[in-house]
Amino acid sequence: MSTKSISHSAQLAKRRLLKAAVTGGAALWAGQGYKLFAAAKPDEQPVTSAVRWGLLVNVSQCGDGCDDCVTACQAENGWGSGSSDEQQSNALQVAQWMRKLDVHNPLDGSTFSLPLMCQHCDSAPCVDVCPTGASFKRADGIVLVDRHTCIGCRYCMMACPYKARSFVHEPLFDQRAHQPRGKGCVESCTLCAHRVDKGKQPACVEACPHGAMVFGDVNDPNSEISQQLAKVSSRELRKNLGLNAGVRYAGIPVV
Amino acid sequence: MFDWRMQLQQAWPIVGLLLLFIGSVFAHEKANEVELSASSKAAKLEACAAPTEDMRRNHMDYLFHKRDQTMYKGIRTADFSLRECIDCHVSRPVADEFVPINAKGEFCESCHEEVGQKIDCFSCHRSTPDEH
Ligand code: SF4
Ligand code: SF4
Repeated sequence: MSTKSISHSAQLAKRRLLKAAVTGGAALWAGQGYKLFAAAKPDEQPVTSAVRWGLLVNVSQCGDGCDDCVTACQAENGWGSGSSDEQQSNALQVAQWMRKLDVHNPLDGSTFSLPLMCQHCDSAPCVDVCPTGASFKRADGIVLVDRHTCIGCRYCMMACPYKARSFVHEPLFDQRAHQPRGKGCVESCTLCAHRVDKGKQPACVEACPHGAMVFGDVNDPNSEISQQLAKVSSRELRKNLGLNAGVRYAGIPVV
Repeated sequence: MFDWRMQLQQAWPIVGLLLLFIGSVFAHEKANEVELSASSKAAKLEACAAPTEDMRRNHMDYLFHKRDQTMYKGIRTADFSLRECIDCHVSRPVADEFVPINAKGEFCESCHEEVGQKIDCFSCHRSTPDEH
């Protein structure tokens, strides 16, 4: 028995070494493609509150009619056009982790367009109201749903001021391996926690052809997002609610 | 006079029962063997993330523990991650083709059916590796 487990752990170690070599190579290669964070968290280390992940969307850079971020999210997380599922749900029922909103001001005729998703609120109403504790906030500020505990009561959907959550109405198949989803559970943007934990950026940020989104640690004064937040004027959507959202918007025309 | 033939005739039911009993012991032994799919990666390895006996008894606890570690703490190591279990144990009859691990006779299902335990993992989790 012991020889077996020794040789097995040796095998595992070898496999990991190989994996590390491959990932290292990929990181070098992807150097120009997308930005890897200077210090990706080692896999075995838990997330901490020393970091708070945030997203800054520059609305003035966001392309009219462009929804590349939404498509990228669908492909990454396997919902909407990124999956073959949800055939039986109607248009109001299908999952919507992220959407492009066209905002039109009838007073002066001005328009702008912005992507809207879970704002990863610091005082998240969805977490407050959840009767089972399934809605929770990670130490690094990412708000998630533990589907193992969610009973599908949809109370959080009522509480969310941004209409950021969806409920899955029918059996699903062919999910992405890193993103389980299923009937009877509520879901929303995860800020691509699975990518962020590996030192990558959320899929939407990487996909934006206009460079309208900046992702990073708002607790780190040297991060690009902190520098931008200090430089440009930005706001929270529905700031009056005092939720201290993790997602901020710059360039929204003041009316 | 002692009639052996008579004795033998009377003993048949007992011998039969004995044979049945021995047979059932072996059948039970066989049912206890988890069959690794020959085309899986697991078939080529000596042991699992923990010794096989341990995994048989405690895999559900390991999976539960790991799932909470991953979900709440973002710990994404390979050991006891359901995704790695599937990747290693899934049948690969042809390169890049997989049989869902919860399909009839496959690794997860065969044992769970034997013990009458419904698997709920795959109403949300993907039952094959995701190669794209
Ligand atoms: S935006 Fe909605 S779903 Fe996201 S944390 Fe805030 S209340 Fe919860
Ligand atoms: S639907 Fe799920 S996550 Fe939302 S409040 Fe109910 S139990 Fe909590």
